[in-house]
Amino acid sequence: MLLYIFRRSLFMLTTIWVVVTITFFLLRVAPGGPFDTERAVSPAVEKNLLAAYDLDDPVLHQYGKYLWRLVQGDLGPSYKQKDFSVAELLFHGLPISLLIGGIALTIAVTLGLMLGATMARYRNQTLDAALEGFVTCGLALPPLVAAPLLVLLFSLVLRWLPAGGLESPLHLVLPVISLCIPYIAAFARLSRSSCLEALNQPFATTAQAKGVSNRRLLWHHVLPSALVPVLSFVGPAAATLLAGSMVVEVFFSIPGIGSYFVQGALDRDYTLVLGAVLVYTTSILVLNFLIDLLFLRIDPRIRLH
Amino acid sequence: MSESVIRNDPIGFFTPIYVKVACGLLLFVLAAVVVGPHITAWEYDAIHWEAIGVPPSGEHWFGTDNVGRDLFARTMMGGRISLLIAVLATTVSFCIGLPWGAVSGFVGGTTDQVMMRIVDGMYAIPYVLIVIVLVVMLGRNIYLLFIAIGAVSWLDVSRIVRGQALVLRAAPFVASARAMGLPEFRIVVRHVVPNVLGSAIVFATLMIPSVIISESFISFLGLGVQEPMTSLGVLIADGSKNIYASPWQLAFPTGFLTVLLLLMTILGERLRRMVTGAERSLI
Repeated sequence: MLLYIFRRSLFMLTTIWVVVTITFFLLRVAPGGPFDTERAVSPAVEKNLLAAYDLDDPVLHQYGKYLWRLVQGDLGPSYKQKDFSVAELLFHGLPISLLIGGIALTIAVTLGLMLGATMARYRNQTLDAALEGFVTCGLALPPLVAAPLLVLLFSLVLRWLPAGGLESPLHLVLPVISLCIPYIAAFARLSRSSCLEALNQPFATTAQAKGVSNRRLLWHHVLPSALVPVLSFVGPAAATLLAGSMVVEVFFSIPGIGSYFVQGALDRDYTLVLGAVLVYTTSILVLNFLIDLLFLRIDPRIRLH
Repeated sequence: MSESVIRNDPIGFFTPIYVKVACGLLLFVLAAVVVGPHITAWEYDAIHWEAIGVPPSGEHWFGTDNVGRDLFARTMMGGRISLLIAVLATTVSFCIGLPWGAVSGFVGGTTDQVMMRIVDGMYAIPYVLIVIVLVVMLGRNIYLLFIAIGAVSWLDVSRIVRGQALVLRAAPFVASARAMGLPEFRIVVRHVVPNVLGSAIVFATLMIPSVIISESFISFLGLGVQEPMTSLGVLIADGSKNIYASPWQLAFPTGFLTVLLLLMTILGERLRRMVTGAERSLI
């Protein structure tokens, strides 16, 4: 077990290093830089600027310096947000993004599982077909569409919920809902098919033959077995959830990592973009790792070797 | 033409009434996007200082934006650009995914292993990060946008094609082509690719809604299509800046995108179900 954790951690560190390296060089290859402005800057000023941020060194030298600082937990200064280091910005944004993404993902998995199990129980009946209609519509409503629709309805017409900012828990409602809609649909569909698959397994037939009620069969026998394929979709779902969380953070003016990443990309703020990529990749890897550990606990059929 | 397709519909694709309705509406939306910018008196990029932020009226059907540009003309133009980029990006992903999957599945062995490990590895990286880094690297350019989207969305196509090519590898006509002494490359091009083309095209069609979403997403963030050209994402971003003063600026582009995505998803789901069978369709 310890060996497994050690090996996985080593793998994660390697992956992070590869991602950081690729991103670093992709950004440096690009023409133009963070200090390009409409106005011509005098050569002396430009030289000083570049020197202050070590941008006048050879690229490999910069890369070495960046890695060395990274190991010490220093992500460098932000080129555009003066007075802030990238680590400060991201440290400020991470809890907010994690909170919104975490709630959305939890709701999506829970609701999706329940919907999917219900659809499997009433398979090929009216309820199943009706829910399937909702699922199809849900898949077509990404955060970019859901967020404006929800704001227009709940903030503008009904005036129930705030349209932006982050002053109270109430401000989280619309961002979370608009983020999780397509994932509820995706998880519902996945749960339905994996529940149906589990229903065809011998243990389900045995339980039925022993006279277990339909409800008990579904929730106690089928669902735990259907959990594994559903949970293994959490990792990929979280990876695509990133895009949605950026939209939601920009749309609702929430100061999360997504907002900083987008601002960094618009400003060509290399260190900020690189830092955000690093944090995103790490979060995804850690999440996948935790899910794999969880598998070991929930499914005794899964062994390490 | 659509009449004859419906009449000769051998697999019953158009049988349910909702499919007919959705098809009709989608055709209407597509027609609106093509002719829309021409049937209004207003140009999508013409600034009218005397008509700033005008609500929808008989003159400006969707109202105007904050510099007095007609929103109907802009929404139709935005829809056109979004669709155009989606089709081009899908073509790009098709052009990468098809040869990749065909070679991987047909050659098999170590080549297959390596090529599929690369695909798996790319799946693990959140694609938005790659697209945004590519956009930062290459500059905000409408032509690079669909290349960037296409360059990251070919993975699914390559998987589908590989699966088909694996099956075809054992087909009798491939054996006979080989017996006739055709070189491997020629077998792939003349015998494998034409056979996987059908399912690959169907699958690529199913991808279009998600590619529209990607394009709108990047343009919404300000990293895609740039002013004065517009797209649905740009319009939603502009509209979201002052929802209380001028809600129509957000409502019309969002509504248009919603309708477009809903129709395409409904039809795509129908197509997917017919092709793969209901029970096997996962995500």
